[in-house]
Amino acid sequence: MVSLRNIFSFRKLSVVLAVAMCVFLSNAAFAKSPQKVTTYQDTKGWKLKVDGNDFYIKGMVWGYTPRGENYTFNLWSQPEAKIRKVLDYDFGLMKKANINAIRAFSTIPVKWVTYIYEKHGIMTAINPLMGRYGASIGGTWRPNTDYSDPLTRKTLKEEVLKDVRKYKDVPGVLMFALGNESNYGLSWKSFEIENLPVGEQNKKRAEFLYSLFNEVIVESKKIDPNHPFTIVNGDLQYIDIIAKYSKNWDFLGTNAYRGISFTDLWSKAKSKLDLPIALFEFGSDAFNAKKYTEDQTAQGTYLKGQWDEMYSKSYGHGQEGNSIGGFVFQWRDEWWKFKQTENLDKHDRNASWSNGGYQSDFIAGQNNMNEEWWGITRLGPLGADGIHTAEPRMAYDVLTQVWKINPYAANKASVAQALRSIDMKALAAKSEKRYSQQIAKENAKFKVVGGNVKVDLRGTALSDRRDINGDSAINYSHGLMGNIDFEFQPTRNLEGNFTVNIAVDAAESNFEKLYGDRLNNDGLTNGGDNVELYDFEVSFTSEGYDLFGFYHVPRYHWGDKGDFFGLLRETTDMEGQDIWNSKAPFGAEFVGKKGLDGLTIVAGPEIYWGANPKAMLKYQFGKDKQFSFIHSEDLSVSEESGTGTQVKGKKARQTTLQANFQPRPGMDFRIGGMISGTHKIGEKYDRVHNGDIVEAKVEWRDTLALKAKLDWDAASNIRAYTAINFAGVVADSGDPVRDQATQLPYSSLGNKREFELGMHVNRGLYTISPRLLYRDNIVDANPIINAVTVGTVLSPGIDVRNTEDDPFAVLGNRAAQSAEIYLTYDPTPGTYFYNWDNDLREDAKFAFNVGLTATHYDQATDAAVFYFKDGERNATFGAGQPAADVWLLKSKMVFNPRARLKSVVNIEAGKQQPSGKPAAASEYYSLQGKLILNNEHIFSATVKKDAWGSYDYERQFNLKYPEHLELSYTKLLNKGVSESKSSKVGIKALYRSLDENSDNKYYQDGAHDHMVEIQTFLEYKF
Amino acid sequence: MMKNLLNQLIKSKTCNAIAVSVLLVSIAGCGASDHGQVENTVAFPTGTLASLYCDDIGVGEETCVLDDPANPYARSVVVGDAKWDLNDFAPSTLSKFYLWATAHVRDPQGENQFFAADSLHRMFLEDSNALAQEQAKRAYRVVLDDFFGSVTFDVSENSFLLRNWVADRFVSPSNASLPLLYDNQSLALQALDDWGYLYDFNTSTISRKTD
Repeated sequence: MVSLRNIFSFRKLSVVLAVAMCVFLSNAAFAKSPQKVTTYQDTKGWKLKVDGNDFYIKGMVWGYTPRGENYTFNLWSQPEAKIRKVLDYDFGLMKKANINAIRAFSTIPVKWVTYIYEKHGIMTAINPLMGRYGASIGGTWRPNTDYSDPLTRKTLKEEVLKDVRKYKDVPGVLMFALGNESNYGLSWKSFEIENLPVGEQNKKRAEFLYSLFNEVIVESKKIDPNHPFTIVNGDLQYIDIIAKYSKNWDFLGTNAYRGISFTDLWSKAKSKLDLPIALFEFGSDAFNAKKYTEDQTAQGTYLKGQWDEMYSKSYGHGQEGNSIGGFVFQWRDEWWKFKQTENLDKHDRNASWSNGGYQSDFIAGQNNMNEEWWGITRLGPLGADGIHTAEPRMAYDVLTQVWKINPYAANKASVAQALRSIDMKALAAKSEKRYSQQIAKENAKFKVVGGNVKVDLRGTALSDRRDINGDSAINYSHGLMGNIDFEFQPTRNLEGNFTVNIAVDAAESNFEKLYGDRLNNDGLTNGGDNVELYDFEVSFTSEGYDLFGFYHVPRYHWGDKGDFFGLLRETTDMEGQDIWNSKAPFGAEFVGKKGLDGLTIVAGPEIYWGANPKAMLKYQFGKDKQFSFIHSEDLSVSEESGTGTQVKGKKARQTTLQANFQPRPGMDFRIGGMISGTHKIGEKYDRVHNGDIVEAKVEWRDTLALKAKLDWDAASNIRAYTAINFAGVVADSGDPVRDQATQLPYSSLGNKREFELGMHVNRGLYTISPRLLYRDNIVDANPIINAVTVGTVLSPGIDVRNTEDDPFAVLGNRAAQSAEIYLTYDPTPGTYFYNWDNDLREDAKFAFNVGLTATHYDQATDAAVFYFKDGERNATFGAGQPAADVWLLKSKMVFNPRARLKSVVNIEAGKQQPSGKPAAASEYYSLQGKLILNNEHIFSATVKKDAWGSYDYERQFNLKYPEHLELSYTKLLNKGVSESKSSKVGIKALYRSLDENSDNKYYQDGAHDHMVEIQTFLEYKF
Repeated sequence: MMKNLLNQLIKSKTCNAIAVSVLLVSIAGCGASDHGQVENTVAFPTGTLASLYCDDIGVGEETCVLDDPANPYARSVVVGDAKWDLNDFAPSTLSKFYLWATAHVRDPQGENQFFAADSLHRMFLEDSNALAQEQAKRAYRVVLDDFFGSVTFDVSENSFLLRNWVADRFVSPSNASLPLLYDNQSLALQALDDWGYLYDFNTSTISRKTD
C-alpha cells in the first residue's frame, strides 16, 4: 500500500499550497473587493479609471424581455438556473463583442451584479430611476412625480441612499446614475416615447429636479466615496440649471439621439460644465420607416459614425477630450415598446416619434423612430434551452470591431486608422447573407405564422341512464378542429393578418357551450360551416391618415380618448362570442393625421358586440386634445341578436361634447353633455302620478344628459373623486369606465339623477377605497294595474314598461343607494393589481383585494326583454324585479410563494337578483382557484353553491345549481411559453346537482338530480 | 379648500363657458318629468271596423294594433286571467277584436289569435263587414299555420285543440251561430286544401296534408 507520505511529500505539498494561495488571493482580489472608480483630468481631457486603470465605457443598455411579455416581466424572479442561462448566453455574446459595462432599467440584484463581473468581466452602472416613472410617496402611488413636494424629495432621497449603501461594496459596480431623462418627464404625458421636447418650458420645475439630484449626490458621496455619481439627463436640456447644481457630480450622463453625429454636444458641454460626458443612451433603430423594411446597414453606419466621433472626442485626441464612453441603446429588440400592453408577441413596425437627426428615413411631418427595432441583436425565437436567442445584426459586428480599439492608445493616428480600416462593406455583406438565411422568411410578404390542432373527447351523463324520452342520457362525443394563422404585408404601408378555422367535428357538452357548437347549430343564432374565416385585420398607413379594417379581433373602448359617455364599447371577449358564432367587432376605422389630426371615424356592421350597423365620428381638439365631440348613429337595426341573451337593439343616436381640465396640479375635471335618443321624441309612454295614469310623450329635454367628474388629491395619501350623472328618460349612453374593481350598480340607461363620491386612501402597501352612489329616477317604473271596464268606458290600468314596446324602461338604472368598500394589498405596483392581465403578470409574493358592495333598491323595475330565438324577436318577461337589498363580496388573491409557482384564487359570495326573470334576491357562493407549477402543470378547481350557471342567459332566466364542482389538470408541452401559446394536454371533470331551479333540459321535472362530465383534450400548436 | 378649487375652475374661461352651457341645457332636460295628460279612462270604440289601421292588423306578428288610436286596450294589461274579464265586459265586438289583437301582440299564442279571428268573424255576422270577413280568414289561417298544436280551456279546464275550432268555423260555422266566410262550404274546404290542410267530416278534425 502506498502511503500518503509518499504522495504528498512536504515539498510537493508546499508547492501545491503556494499555487492554491496565489489563485485564491488573486481571485479574492479580483472578485471580492469593490472597485475604486474615479475620474481623471489633465490638459488632454478626461478619463474614467477603474482601480487606477483607464476605462473607456464600451457599454450596452441591457435587458431581457421575452416575446409576449412587457415591462412587467421580471427576470430576477425566475429560477436561478434560468437567470444563469440568460446571463451566460447574453453576456457570453457581449463579452465576445468586447463590451465592458452595462446599464439596465431593472435593478440587478447584488448577487447577479457580482456574477456578471466575475464570470464575464462586465461592470454594471447602478441606475435608480428616482421617481421617473412614478413613486410611492407617503404610501400613495404617484404616477407623475412632483419634485417640489418636500415629502417626495425626502422619500426619493432615502430610497437612493438605501441603494447606495446596498451596492457600494459590491464587486462589479461601475457607478451610480440617477433618473432617466427625468427632464422629459416634466413635459411628456405618458411613459411611451414621444417627440423630444423642444426648448425649456419647465424651468421652474427643472430647478426642483436638479437641486434634488444634487442633494442626493452630495449625500451619496459621503456614503460611497469609491464610485462616481451622475444623472441621466435627456440630451443637454436645462444645461444652465445643470451647471448650477453639478459642482459635486463626477460627470454628466446624457441620452442623446442626434443621428450620426452628436453635433455640438461635446463643445456645448465643455463650455458650460467642467465635467466629462458619458452617453447613457444613443444609437439607431434598425428599421427604415421610409422603405418600411429592416435596415441593418443604416443602423451599423450610424453607430460606427457615433463611435468614431466619441473616440475623437476622448482624452488625448486634441479635441474637447470630454468623452468617457457610453452605453449603446440597446442590446436586443424589445417587442413590447409600442403600445406597451398590446401585440406583445408581434414585432411592431409602427414609427412612433420623429427625429430629423436620422436622415436615412426621415420625412418631415412623419414619424421615423421605430421603438421595437433598436437592438444590435434581434429578439429571436426560443432556443432549445427556453431562452430567446439574440440574433446579431450588422451593428453587432461593427461594434465588435470598434470596441477592439483602445481610444486611449498612445498612438492616436493608429486609433483613427483602426477605425477607418473597419470594412463596412464586408460587414454589410455578411449581414445581408445572414439576413437572407435567417430573417427574410420572417419578413415575407405572405406567410403562415402558426396554428393549432385540437382533439377533444367528452363523456357526459345525467343521473339516470335514460332521459325523460327514454333515450340514453349517457353520451360520448369527440371534436377535431384547428386553425392556421396568416400574415401579409404586400407593401410597406399595408399589412394584416387573418386566421382560418377548420372544424372537422364538434364535441358536445352539457356544461359548456363550445365554439364547435356552430356545426350543430346548438345555441347559436345561425349555423356554421366547417371552414371559416375566423378573424381578420388589416392596416393601411399613409401620410395623411391611417385605415384599419377589423373582423372579430379585440378592440378597446375610447374611455381614455375623449369618450366620457362610453359610447364605443369594448369587445375583447372573443371566446364568449365564439360560442354564439358572433363575429364582432366588424368594421373599419379612419384615423386622421396632419390637417385631419384628431378626427376618427369608425363604422361597420357590428363595431362592438351587439351593436347595430353603426357609424361613429370623433373629433378631438384644443390643447392636448382636451375637447372631444362624438356623434354616433345607428344606420339600421341588426337582423339578429348576437347572443342568446342579448336583445336586438332599437336604433340609437347620440351626440356628445366633453372637455378635460386640470385646474391645478393634482386635480382633474371632466365634464360632458349628451343628446341621445332624439328619434324617440314624440313616442308615448305611461306613468302613474298621484294615483292618476298619465300619458306622456318623449320631449326634447328627455334626450339630454350631463355628466361631470372631479378627481383631486385630498391629502398626500388620498385621491378623492366626486361625480354626477343626470340623464333624461331616453338619454341612454354606453358602458361607463369602471374605477378599479368597483361593483357599484352603474347603468348605461338614462332616466336618472346619479351622485357618486369615493376615494382611495393609501396606507403603506394597502389601499382602502370607499365609494358611495345615490341614484334616483326621473320617471319610476310602472306598477301593474289591471284594466277594468266601467260601464261604457275602460279604466285602462297600466302595465310595466319594456324597451321593446316603450321608449324607455326602468331596469338596471333603477333608484339605488349603494355603498362599497374595497381593500387592496399590492406590494408591487409595477404589476398593477387591476390591470386586465394581472393574473398573469402579478409578481408579488402575495397580493390581494377584498371588497363588499351593498345596494338598497327600494323600487321595482319595469320588465326586462330577452331575445326569443324561436320567434326571432324580442319578448318581455312580463313583470319587473321586485325591490330588494343585495350585496356582493369579492376577493382575488395572487400568490407567488417561490419562483415558478403561482396561484390565483377568486372568491365571490352574494345575494343578488337575476338579470331578467323576476325573482327575489338569493344567496350564492363561489370559490375558484388555479395553481401553475413550473410553468408546466396547471391545476384548477371551482366550487359553487346555489350559483347561476356560467353563461349570461342562465342568470337572465334564473337557472341555478345547488352544487357545482370542477377539477382540471393541464400539462403544458412547450417550455418557456405561456398557457395560451403552448401545446397542451388536459383532463377536466365537472359535476352539478340539479333541482327545480336548474335548467329543466337536464332536471327534467325531477327525473335527474345530478349531471357529470369528463373532458380530455390534446392541443398541438405550431 | 373647496372654495379655492371652485375659484380655480371658474377662472378658466373655456371651462366656464362649456360648463355653464352644458349645465343649463342639462338642468332643463333632467328635471322631474311633469308633462303629460291624465288618462284614467278610455272610451270604447263604437260601430264596426270601417277601415284597417294597417293591412295586417290582428293578423300574426303585426303590432300596429298598439298604435291604432281606436284601440282602448293599447296600454292595458291584457294577459293572463285579466283578458277574460275584459272580454266579458267589452261592450262591442269591435272592442273584443282590439282586446284579443292586443293580447296576441303582447303574448303571441293560438288562443289570442283565434279569438281575434273570432271577433272579426262576429263583426261579419253583425253587419256583413267585408273587411272583417277577409281579415277573419287570414287570422284563422295564422292559427293553423303558426299554432297548429295550440289549445284553449273551458271553465272546467278541459282542453280543446284550436285547429279543430278553426276548421269548424270554416266548414260548419253555423255550429257557433256564425255565417260562412266563403260563399259555400266547398270553397271553404278548397281554401283549407290550398293551405295544406285536410278536413275529416267523420271526426270534425283537421290535419296537415304532409302528416
